[in-house]
Amino acid sequence: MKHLTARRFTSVIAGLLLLLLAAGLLGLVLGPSALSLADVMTALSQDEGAAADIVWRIRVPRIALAALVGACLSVAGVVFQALLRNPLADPFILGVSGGAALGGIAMLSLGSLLGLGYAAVPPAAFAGAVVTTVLLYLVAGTRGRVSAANLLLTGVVFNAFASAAIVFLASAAGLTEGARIFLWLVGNLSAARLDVAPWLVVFLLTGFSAAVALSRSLNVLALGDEAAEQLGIPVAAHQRILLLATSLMVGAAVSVAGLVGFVGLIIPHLLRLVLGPDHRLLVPAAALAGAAFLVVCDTAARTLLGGRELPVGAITAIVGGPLFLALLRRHQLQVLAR
Amino acid sequence: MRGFALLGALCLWLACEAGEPSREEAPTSLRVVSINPSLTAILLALGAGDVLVGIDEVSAAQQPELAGLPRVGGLFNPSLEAVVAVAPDVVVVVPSVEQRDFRGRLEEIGVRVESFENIRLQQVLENIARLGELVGREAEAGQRIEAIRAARASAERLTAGRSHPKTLVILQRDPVFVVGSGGFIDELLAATGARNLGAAFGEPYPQVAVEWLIAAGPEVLIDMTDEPGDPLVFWSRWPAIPAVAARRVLHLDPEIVTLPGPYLDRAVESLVEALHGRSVAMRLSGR
Amino acid sequence: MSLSLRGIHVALGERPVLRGVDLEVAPSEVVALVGPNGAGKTTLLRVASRVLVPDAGEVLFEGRALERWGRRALSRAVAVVPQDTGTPFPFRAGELVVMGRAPHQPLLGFDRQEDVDHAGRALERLGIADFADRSVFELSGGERQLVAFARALAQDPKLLLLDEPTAFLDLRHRVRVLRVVREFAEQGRSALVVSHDLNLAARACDRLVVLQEGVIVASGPPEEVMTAELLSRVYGTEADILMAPDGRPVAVPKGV
Repeated sequence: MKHLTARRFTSVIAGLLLLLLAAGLLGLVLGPSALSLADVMTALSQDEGAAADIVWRIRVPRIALAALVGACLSVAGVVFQALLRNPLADPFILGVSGGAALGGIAMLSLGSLLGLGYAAVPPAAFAGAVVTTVLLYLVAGTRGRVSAANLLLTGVVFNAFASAAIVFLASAAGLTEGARIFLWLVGNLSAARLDVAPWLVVFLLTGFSAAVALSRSLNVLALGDEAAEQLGIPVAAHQRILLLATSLMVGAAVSVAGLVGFVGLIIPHLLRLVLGPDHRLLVPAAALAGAAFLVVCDTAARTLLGGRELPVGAITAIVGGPLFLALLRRHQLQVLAR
Repeated sequence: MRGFALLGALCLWLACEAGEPSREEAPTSLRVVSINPSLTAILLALGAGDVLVGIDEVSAAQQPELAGLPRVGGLFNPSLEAVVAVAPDVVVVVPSVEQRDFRGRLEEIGVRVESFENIRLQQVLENIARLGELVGREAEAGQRIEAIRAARASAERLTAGRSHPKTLVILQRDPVFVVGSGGFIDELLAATGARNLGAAFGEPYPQVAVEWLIAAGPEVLIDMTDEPGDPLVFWSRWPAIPAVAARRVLHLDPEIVTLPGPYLDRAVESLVEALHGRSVAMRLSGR
Repeated sequence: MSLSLRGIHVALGERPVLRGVDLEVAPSEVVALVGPNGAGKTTLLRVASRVLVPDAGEVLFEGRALERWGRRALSRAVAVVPQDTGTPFPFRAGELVVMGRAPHQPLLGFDRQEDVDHAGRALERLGIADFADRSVFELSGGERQLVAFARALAQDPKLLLLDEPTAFLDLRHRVRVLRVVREFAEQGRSALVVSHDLNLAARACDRLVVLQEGVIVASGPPEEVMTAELLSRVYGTEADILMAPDGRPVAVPKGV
């Protein structure tokens, strides 16, 4: 009988690690300014000079942040899909992203009035995420257990409210703020600074650890809340922990990069198709694959148009959009066949 | 709030139509609505501020003395009703894409609209002349035009023999927008002895990647953004930029340098000082 | 006594569903719970598995109140074969069955050989060993039911609670399921089976319990309980009661 063995786990994870390294290498070598591979190699051992500045102070931070954000979004996607029992759920469904976006955009629009620069935006976004998570839990949780239907409805309502508020702020904004708000809504890493990285790492590790620790629960939850309860899983407690963990990850990712779409939707779904739905493998795989994916997308965003930069969310949308349609069709056919 | 000045500059690179200048004599009790801060500034510089009966939000923000005037909306969403309510004789606009539609609607209801393109320096000078004619201040207009021309010629002469530093004018950070080629700021940079690296792009206000900027190696950075704090601190993240290493990262007042308005002679002076130092700039005005 | 339900009252919203139910299941006993639609059978099963907390009454397993059992300890002792067997993700049948070992497994880690063996044996007992590597998306409703049963067996419980375990099965598999239930009881364990299939329930059980509108109206050996009069009273159906060769009753409805 086939099941998940340590051997299979190790080989998959090792393969994905190599993929991530390859993506990172690609990101180091490619960029809008023409640096040859030799230039990059010498720059790596230097601390000064234009090439070193480009490699160490632009490309390396971008790769690191893209990897962290990609990992956060993918792992959150896996967990949300399990919590909502829907393989096409997106971590942005739950409203936490709306709250984070609203916080960030409010700071983008009004920050100059308060004399605050761009550096104030990520903390504001994260505050928005935290507030939303608390509100979400208060509203959607009844008698301790958070039902999937309640979560979904509450999330949709929150997102609608946040969208309305964002539209209002965007309409009232000037040209500069308007352009930045647009970039935030699409998902963009060009403005992100490496000093947010430690926070991102902390939240990623927290969320990731929770998801890994509760991988078996994630599997069993697929059977339904009652069945999981009857198999000894403390469903309410685990749902609460997982919701909190993923909210932290989504909040952190959105605070840094804005609403980068499709990563949290496509990577978990694709990996499940290829590796199977066992979360003990899926969660760590999603972290690595999501990281690699976003690093490649961000490299493309930086490089495709020469001197001009595209927001990374545009690339994930171009890649992810058609892929999502294909997956949706496949899913519908599967449902019909059942 | 200064950032709003950039709105005036940045809308210039959107597609626009040519406007037909009018040759009518301006009556003494002329009522004018201005929907562009550069045009408002020109009118004020000509001493004709009293013809203004309505202005846009950005003009109001830039010119505190006009605070009492009725507002007719923002640069990109002016209000038809507000304009009509003040019964203007003429509305002066800069024909951006958004205002083209607005202009059509005004003309439909019979309001006279005068259009002023302000991308190139010559166009700005023509605007000063036309507005001078419109409000009967031809003499003042002539003075301003002459001042700007003289400043430019003087600067060209003064800086001809000097070194021409590689320069970038930063209009916005995150993402970075710089002054490119074909606009009046580019012309001023050329006149004041700067080698505008942004001219490599064919457009007036391109977006650029920081990587490109570092590779281009500007010797002088003129940061016009309205972010708080010393711009040198921001750009010090990339110490390999020659301008950072030489501590030649400067902040200039956007209302002087990036506004296609009546005081471009002061813009020339500012730029000369930024690029070549105070002593050279003083020789400019002491000509 | 394995399972003891005493004085169970449950109201869902305004409507009383169970009105003072007493039910006991002894070791080595198979109890079949039958009754018309809406009688409260599934609700009673949910009370027995602690998913639902009754408004009044107590539930004891092996003499101890359910609340005093740890969640995991209870899961090692009581397993449920539910009606609804859908999952949103394409797990393999074998993987689903191994999930039955969750109460015995530590939080983290891969499945141990003993867990895999338990799962394998459960699949064999139900004759579906060749399903092990097939995705549940490819299985029919009846096949998924068998997988759910295998999962419950893998749990290695002392009490099985089965909710309509034969609803989608063909005759061969129905027989198999009931035989497995009987064997399960013969090992000293117990089973409580909710079924719509009166005749099959009568064949498999030691005691037939009839629930109507939240109250138990009959309880005893099937040949005593299953009378034409009861069927008429409870199901509103006229039927003849025949005797199978081994003495168990068979109901044949009239006028069909």
